[in-house]
Order: sequence, then structure tokens, then C-alpha cells
Amino acid sequence: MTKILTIARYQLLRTVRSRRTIWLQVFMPILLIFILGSALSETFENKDRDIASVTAGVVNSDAGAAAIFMNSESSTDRLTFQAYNIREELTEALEDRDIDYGVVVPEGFTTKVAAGQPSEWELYPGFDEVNSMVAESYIESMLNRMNFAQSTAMTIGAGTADMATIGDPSMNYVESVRPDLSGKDYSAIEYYAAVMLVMFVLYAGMSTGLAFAAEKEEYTLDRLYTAPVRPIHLIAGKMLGSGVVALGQSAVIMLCTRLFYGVDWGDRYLLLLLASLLTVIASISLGVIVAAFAKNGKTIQIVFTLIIMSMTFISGGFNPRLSDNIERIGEYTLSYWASRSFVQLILDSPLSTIFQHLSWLGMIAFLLFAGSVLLGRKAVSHE
Amino acid sequence: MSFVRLHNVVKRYGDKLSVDHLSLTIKQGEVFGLLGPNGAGKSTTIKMISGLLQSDQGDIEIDGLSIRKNVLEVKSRIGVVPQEIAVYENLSAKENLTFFGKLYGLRGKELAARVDEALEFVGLSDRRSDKPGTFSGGMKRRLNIACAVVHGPKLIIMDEPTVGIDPQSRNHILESVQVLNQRGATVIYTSHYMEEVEAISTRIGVIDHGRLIANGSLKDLMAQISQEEKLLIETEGLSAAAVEEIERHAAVKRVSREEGKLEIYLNHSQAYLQDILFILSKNDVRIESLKSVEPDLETLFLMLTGRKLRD
Repeated sequence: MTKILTIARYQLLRTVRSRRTIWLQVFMPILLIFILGSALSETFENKDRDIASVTAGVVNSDAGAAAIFMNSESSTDRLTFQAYNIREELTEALEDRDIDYGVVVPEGFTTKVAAGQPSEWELYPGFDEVNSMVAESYIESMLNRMNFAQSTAMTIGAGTADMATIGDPSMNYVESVRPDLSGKDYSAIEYYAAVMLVMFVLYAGMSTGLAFAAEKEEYTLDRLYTAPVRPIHLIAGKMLGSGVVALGQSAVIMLCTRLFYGVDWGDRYLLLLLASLLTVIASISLGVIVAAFAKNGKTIQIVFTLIIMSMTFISGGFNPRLSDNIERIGEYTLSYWASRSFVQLILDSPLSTIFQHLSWLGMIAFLLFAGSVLLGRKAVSHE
Repeated sequence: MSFVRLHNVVKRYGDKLSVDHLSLTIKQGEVFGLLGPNGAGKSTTIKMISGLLQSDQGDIEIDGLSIRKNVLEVKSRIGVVPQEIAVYENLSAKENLTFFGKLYGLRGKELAARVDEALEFVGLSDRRSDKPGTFSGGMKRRLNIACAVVHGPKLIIMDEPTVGIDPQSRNHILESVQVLNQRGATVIYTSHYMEEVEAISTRIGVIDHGRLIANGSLKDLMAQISQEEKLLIETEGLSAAAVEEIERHAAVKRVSREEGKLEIYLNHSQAYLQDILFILSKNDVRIESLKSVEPDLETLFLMLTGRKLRD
């Protein structure tokens, strides 16, 4: 273990002393976040748009008034309801883009309202902002009418609510909550901060690959192997050293973007650390895998640049509004799940949503790490 | 007492046999000069002794330990000075030594003392905080040596450690080898410079086509060729016919020609000098200079391998 730590420590020292690394991994991302965030901020602005007909998925566990209202609303030409049995089916349909919006009406909703007790609907916005907004405005309007109707019913004696409270115009019996986004939105700078953070952590993976190649090209690999060092010491030490640098890089980018551009990364520090850690593990592992096949540093640079740029592009890293087909391909990339994990943290999304993204990211990181374990010896082979 | 023992060692690269059933013993405290032309199997042998390559057959023992079974223990007793300068350019001289010292398990005060000692030994104490990028070629070579000896190895393997350096640094390195040897280290030294090997080796081995073709002290090896002398003749109008006639002479062993220069290896040059001069005169070759050279290691090497060391 001491040999691994020694190799890691000196790898870290050599990396932070490299001007190229500091420029590439710290200054470049901060600069690019500013440039992209400023130049493409219009992409995130709202403009007048034609409103299309939208479909909202509904999990209705209430047999009362809500069901009647849903049925009446289904006749509008702007909004169509699609029934689902459970919440998971609904969120899956949202993920698959079968529906534009999701609503969950809890069991006993009508009874609670009639009893004068507050109750909540869960609203799930979909991928398309405009369609979500259309669905939401219809549903909000529907809720207002339902509040009114229920209040009226209770006032004439059908319910058991406190008359004084029902008469209060500020009182709203039915509240809606937005479990996905908590009403928070994000700016172009925040979006690009997440995307660029991921992109440049991937460059840390390239630095790892280059570190392996440099040991061969500068003849120090043979020297290391004349010492009592096993390949596993070398792989683990280099990965650990590069990983610590990459984690530090993430922290510096987060800190700088918060200080200079006001990016709010949220206050879930442990989850931010977890997202960073998984991204770093995936990136460093990718570096080892590429180094195992590349003959020299130049090849590693070319291959990595291609991987990083194409993954960042198809995951919406340069332009968040891509065609559906490209976006669907992007969902298979490390960049997509890593950047979306950070975006969810910026949006302060519910834990379930964040963990869903982190799970995908974790799975990708695990697969790449397993690959690096299998191919690591080849990356540090000196024969 | 043997410190290094190679027994019937074989190494192949695909179909090519690089080391061919090589057996060799190096005693403790020896400076063993290993000579061989390019592609003779010298570097492969060095790499196998260093633990960088595994032999396909046979065994190598260092200090009584089989390298196959105890590779890490064996490596901790060896210091290798590679042919190439293998130091980290963005670490200072001291940091380089500290790093390699730590890999050999040195810690704390012992590590600090060994690092200081190694820097002192190679004359880089005053440049300890400087990075190798600011060093001359000779200083880098010396740092290369310091990295190999920082842990106090019992066996030091030096693979052409004086390539491309100034005479002052070269002398410093040769003196260093002798000092290390006096301190008790066994040294395996390879070089393309015969005079270096002659100057520092207590025993010399010549390897060619993966086999050890000569092995002994300089005196023993010279005895093998004491009968052979070399005539160096510079000529004008040298013809192929004249060279062929000289080659046919019974006393001539080999002839090499480089334009008008002739190198003739023969027994007792004085006795047959007249014959050689007669042949040249008969073929209308004018002699510009003539010199008789005593046999040296280069002569031995040529005799054994049919090639010059730098070929």
C-alpha cells in the first residue's frame, strides 16, 4: 500500500506542476463556461411559440371528483390524458417521451378536500419545456376550478370543512407540488458549468492516459520495474494520483463558477462529491483503457479528444436543443448521465430523481473501472 | 562466492533466439564487463538479470535467490542504470532520488541520509533542488546513476552509462563505478567503449548470437590473442587484386579495407612484413604509412565476433 501511495503522491505532484494540466483542466473550463454561458444564453430564454396538443399521463388513485374532472378535461383539443396505474409507469413514459407531462392524484383526494384538509398533486414536467408549460397551465386552471367547486359544495353543507376557513379567499385547499424541479430553473451558465465540469474531468482521464504513455516514452517505466514494484502498484498509484487531481479540479471549477458566475451547485455536498467521484472514476478508467491500446501519447490525445468532443456534443453539451434522435443516442453516454446528475443537483431535484441519474452514472463508472482492471496490465506493459 | 548465476538461460522473441542457453557466473565484488555487438543478446541478458524480462528457460540467481521465485526481493538488491536517461524532468534531483528511495522501502532519516549521500556521490549536492531540465547531459547521466544507487544495492547493473557525455563526466562516472565496487558492490558494466571496459573490469565476458563466447580477466583474454598483431597501412592505388592476394597469404587471418586504409591481422607481423610489402609493391600500390599495433580488446572482439564493437 505504501508503494501505491508513493506513486500516487508523486503522480499528483508531477501533474499539478505541469502548466499544461493547470491550463487545460482548470483555466480552460472556467473560460469556456463563461464563453458558452454568455454566447448561448438565448437558448435558455423563453420566446413566443406555437402551442401544440400535449398528452399528460395520470396516475389517479382517487375515485371522486378528480376522476370526473380528468374525464371532462380530456375532451379539450390542447390536452389529452393518458391513464397509468402506478407512478413508475408514468415516470418511465416521461423518460421515453411517450407523454409530455405527468400528474399523480393521491388516494382519498376528494375526501380530504371535502373534509377541509389540504392535499397535494404531484406534477412531473417532461423533456419539452413548452409542452410541459402548456400541460401545467391547463392543470393549474383545473385545480383552481376544483378548489372553487369543492368550496362551494362544502359551503352548502355537503362537506365538513370549517366554514370560516373556506370563506378565506387566500385559502387554497388543493396545492400542487413539483417533485422534479421544485419550481427551480437554471441559467445557461449553470447548464454549461455542469457540462464543462464533466467535459474537463474527462480531460483528466486523458492526462492519466498520457501519464502512462509518458512513463514509456521517457524510459521511466523500465526504471520503475527494476524497483520492487508490481504492475498493480503502478496502475493503482497512477489512478489514485490522477483521481485526486481530478477531484480537486472539480472542486476548483465548482468554487470558481460559484464565486465568479454565481452558479448555485446546491447544498447537497455529499451528493456533489459522489457525482464528482463517479465521474472521476469513469474518466480515469477510460484513460487507462485508451492507454492500453494506444501506442503513444499522440494517439491517446487524438482518441480522447474524439471521444470527449463527440460524447459532449451528442449529450447536448454544446447545444442542449438537439434533435430527438441525437438526444436518444446521447442517453447512452457517460457525459449525458454525468452532466445531468450535476444539473439535477443544481435544480435541487428530489432525491429519487438524483439517485436515478447517479445510478446510471455509477453503472457506467463501474463498467469502465472493470475494463481498466482487465486492461490495466497492458497499459503498463514494458515488454 | 558467486553473486550472479545464469544457468542455461534461453530467451526468444517469436522465432528469433535472442539468448541461447547462456550460462554465466559473476563473483561477489567483481566488476564484470559485458561486451557484445548490437543484437548480440546483451541487452536482453541485462534485462533478464534486472528482472524486467522473464527467461523462457533456465534460471537466474542473484545473491542465492531465484529471480523467478523471488522477483521483488531480488529487485530490492539490484540497482539498474539504464542506457537512457530515466528521470522525471519536473521533479528536482532530490525529489527524484526520494521517490525512487521510497519505492525501495526507505523512509524517514535513513531516506534523507541516503539521498544526501547519493547526491554527494555523483557531485550534485549543490544542484539538489534543481530540475533535470536545467542539467547538462553529463549531470543527467550522473543523476541517472544516483537514482540507481540511492538504496545501496548489492548489485549494480550499468548499461552503457557514458553514452553521449563529456570526458569530465565520463571520468567521474568511471571513478564512481570503482568507488561503488570498493564499497562492496558487484557491478555489471556494458559499454561500446573498449577502453572503459578495459580500465574498470576485473573480468570480461563477450556475448554474440546469444552465447557467451569468451569469459575471463583482461589478462586471460589477451593471452588468447598474444600471437596476433595488427598492421595498419595507408596506401595509394590500392586494388582489389592486392587485397585478395594478401588475404590468401597463410599467415594472414583477416583483412579489412576502408578505401586506401588496410587493417591486416596476422601472426608475428615482423616475420611476414616483407611478404606484405612485396605483394603491395607487385600490385603497384604505394605505401604512405605503416604501423604495427599491439593486440587489444578491440582485436579480441573482432577475432571472436568477426565484427567491430560499434558495427
